[in-house]
Amino acid sequence: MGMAEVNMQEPETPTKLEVQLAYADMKESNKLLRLLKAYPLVLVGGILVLALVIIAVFAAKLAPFNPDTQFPNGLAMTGAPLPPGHVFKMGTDDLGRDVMSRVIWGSQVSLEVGLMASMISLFIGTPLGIISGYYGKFVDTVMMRITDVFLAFPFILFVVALVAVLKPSVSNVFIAIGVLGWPLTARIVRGQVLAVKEFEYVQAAKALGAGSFRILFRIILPNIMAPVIVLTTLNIGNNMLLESVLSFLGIGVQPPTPSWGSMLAEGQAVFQYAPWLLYYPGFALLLAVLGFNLLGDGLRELFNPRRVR
Amino acid sequence: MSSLLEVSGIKTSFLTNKGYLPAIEDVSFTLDKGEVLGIVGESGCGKSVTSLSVMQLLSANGKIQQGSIRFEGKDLVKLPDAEMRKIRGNDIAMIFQEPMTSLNPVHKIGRQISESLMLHKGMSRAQARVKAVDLLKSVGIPRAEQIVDEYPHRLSGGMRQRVMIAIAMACDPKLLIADEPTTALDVTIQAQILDLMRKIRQEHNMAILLITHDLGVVAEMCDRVVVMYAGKVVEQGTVKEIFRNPSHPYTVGLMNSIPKLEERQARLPSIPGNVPSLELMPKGCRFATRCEFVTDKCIQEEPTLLPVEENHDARCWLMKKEEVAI
Amino acid sequence: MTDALLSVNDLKMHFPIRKGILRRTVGYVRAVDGVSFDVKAGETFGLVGESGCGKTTTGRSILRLIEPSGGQVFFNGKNVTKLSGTEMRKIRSEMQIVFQDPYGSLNPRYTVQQTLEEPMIIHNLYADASERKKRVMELLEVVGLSTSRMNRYPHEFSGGQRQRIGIARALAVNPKLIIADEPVSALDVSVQSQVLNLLDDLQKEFHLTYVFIAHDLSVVKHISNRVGVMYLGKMVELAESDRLYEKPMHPYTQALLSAVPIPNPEAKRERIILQGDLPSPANPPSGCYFHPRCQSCMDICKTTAPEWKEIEPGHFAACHLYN
Repeated sequence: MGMAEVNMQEPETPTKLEVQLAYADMKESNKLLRLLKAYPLVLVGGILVLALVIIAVFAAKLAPFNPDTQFPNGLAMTGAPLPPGHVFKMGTDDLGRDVMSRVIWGSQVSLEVGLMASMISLFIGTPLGIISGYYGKFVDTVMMRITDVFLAFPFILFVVALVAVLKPSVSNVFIAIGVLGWPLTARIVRGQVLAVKEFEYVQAAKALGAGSFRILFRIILPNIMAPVIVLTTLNIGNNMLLESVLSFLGIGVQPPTPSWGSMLAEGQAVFQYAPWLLYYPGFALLLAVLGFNLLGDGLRELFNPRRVR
Repeated sequence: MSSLLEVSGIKTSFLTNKGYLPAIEDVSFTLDKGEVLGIVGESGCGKSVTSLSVMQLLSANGKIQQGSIRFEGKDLVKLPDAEMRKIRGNDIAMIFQEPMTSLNPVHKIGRQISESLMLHKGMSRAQARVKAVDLLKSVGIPRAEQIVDEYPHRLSGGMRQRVMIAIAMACDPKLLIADEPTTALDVTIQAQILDLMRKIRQEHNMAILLITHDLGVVAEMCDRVVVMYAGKVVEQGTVKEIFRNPSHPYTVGLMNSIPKLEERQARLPSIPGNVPSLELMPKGCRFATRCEFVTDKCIQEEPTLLPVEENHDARCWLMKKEEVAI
Repeated sequence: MTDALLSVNDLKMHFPIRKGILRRTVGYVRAVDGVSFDVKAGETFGLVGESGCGKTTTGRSILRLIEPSGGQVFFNGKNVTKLSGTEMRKIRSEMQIVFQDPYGSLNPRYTVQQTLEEPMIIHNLYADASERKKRVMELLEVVGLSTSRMNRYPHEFSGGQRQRIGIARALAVNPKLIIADEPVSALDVSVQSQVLNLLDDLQKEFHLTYVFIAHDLSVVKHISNRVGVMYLGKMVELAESDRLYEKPMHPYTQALLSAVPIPNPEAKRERIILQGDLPSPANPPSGCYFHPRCQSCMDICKTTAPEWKEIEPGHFAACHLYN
């Protein structure tokens, strides 16, 4: 900062003092490096999320077997599932299917539901939140009362009703989660807009003659993106968890589609003598949700101007 | 008479990602019983760090690396925490700039005053309450009996600052540190608060360390003044001396750049540039980058505090030259 | 109509206080309550008062950043309060604003160049990017900033420099009038004088008219030709700035002036210390709003609001003492 200060009075004539004061500015890449140093867990989060994405995308290549095939040699003589072994690395389930393949394929469902549901919440919640926060008054009051109703609504009840009307499927699960999730996004966006619109740069744009559209989408929106991105990242993890809950309860993803939640439900019946049926999908779910949460927290730090300068 | 407070050569640094950076260096001053000393300077000059160092209230990344702060002979720097807590609020009290945030919003005003009375003076709750009402009356709060049961948000900024002063006065301290006590207030309210501080000082013969950026406040309140710039004391002396004969070019520039009410000026004299940042402190005189009298010596070597007159020093090589010339 | 560039006539801004589930209006905060003044082309009109006196609201209502609830604002003979949205947007290029907070008034996600180009894009001022860039560099030079840092973000500048950027943004559309809302209050004394001098230079160079809003009386006096003093949403006194400071008429102005600490320990003067706090503009006192704190309060002051009168040529006040 020092350099231009001295410069201020006579911009064109550098003095010897100015040269002494000149210093190299921080590069943008240093910022990321210092974030990693101050908050190393973000790296763990990033790696977990990346791994999940790779596994989901290349499930067909990575899975050793077809997840739906019921192997005759996948069951013990007694008809019990096989423990982790040489052929079936994570053992088999009570239908003789390979658990490892099912966990790998299950990542697709989890990621799809997590991402899509968050996107639905984002795309419904953001514009409504912006409008509510910017226009205020009557619009705001109505909008906030609607979100109250949504937030107070028993989640499971809503999904059961929705699934009853539609049909249980992957897309209906993420629609249900997404539609129920938007009020939270809308509220957070609204709060951010309320804070940002008080800044004088918004007033300044108005004073310059900028229209509402420009103010909303060119000026306010970029300034609220950071918390929205953090929220969406954290939402992905949460939504994956919700999917599992729904599938576990049997109203989510339907068999034979492999999903971590439905695997947990199936494994629950036999977990006393085949605990691996719970361990692997449970562990996968844990890592995936943890990954998104760590990444979200890390992004929050990255966007926090007071933390990383 | 020995001094109440004797700060000598303190250096307070803050841990940054570039290691410890000194915010103030070589700061020394004394404060006698009943005296009002002003520390004046612009933002970032280290005046607040100085007051927090005296109070031992630096944030976790701050540290006094050198020097001593003697209060009634005891070195506060070396004092254990428990001992310091006994002094704080009892012998030395402090009021802050922001009366909106320095009161706890969830406690009634009476309780906030009683707290230190019960802690330091061992009063019972009932005794403390009576004293709290007295204190509120003494700082000019109307309806003190009712206000004592109110929450802070019911009061205006000026009233809150009065409450802060009442809290500070609760244990009859020997030294009051006031960090920009009127900066957040309107002029007419500022006049009320300054008037109140003057009254209290006379009644209790209490010393005041007044931190401010406003030379007008200094002129009206203080006996002596310390001018700080970029973490160092650049000039010190009695108020009359310094206003009559400002000697450091920074002090001169500062005084000239204030618009005057009594006269019309076509153009304001101003000091070019800004204060150098902590990481980029010039090697020589810290004001050299902005000084109109700068010489090679100023850039090479930092001046010490040189005497201007008796009880009036300035950290500037020009003082030396004059001495030689005479 | 006189030769006034800006003429404010009985401007009112009453904010409704709403309560309950139905948000029924239960009262009004009279932030600005019938303020009138003229600003001549090329002059600096100072608006001074303590917090809550409505000076900032007055400034923003003139620009219709908040819609005034009553009164008219004439700019260049046009009634601004009657203009449609499109017409208003057009006229905004002629009246600009500079804000107090050098940290909040610049969009943190825009570089200096983007910040200064924005007004040009909104008003379609220049055909292409290279012309805009040329103008940006010109503007930076005008406000005394080096062009080498125009791709930097606001947080990389100091308070004084940011205020210069804010001034450059206001200048980008070649305005006639600039409303400067506490433009130097957040700055240190030595930087404050730099910015005041800059405003002075720009006024001469571009024949600007200023409405200068501030709480610091010495600053207002220094920069203004005429000064209006506000108290609780009303104008209480208006005069040439030297005159106002030499011979204040309204007891509030007198108290305000005497309360300013003078940086001279040997100055002797009588100080009027006002009792009590500023009343709430939601529930102002009866009669003259100032009467509960006034030292010269008479019986009539408690019941009747004083008239706004020209007491001496060019010197207006609203006070019963001068009846």
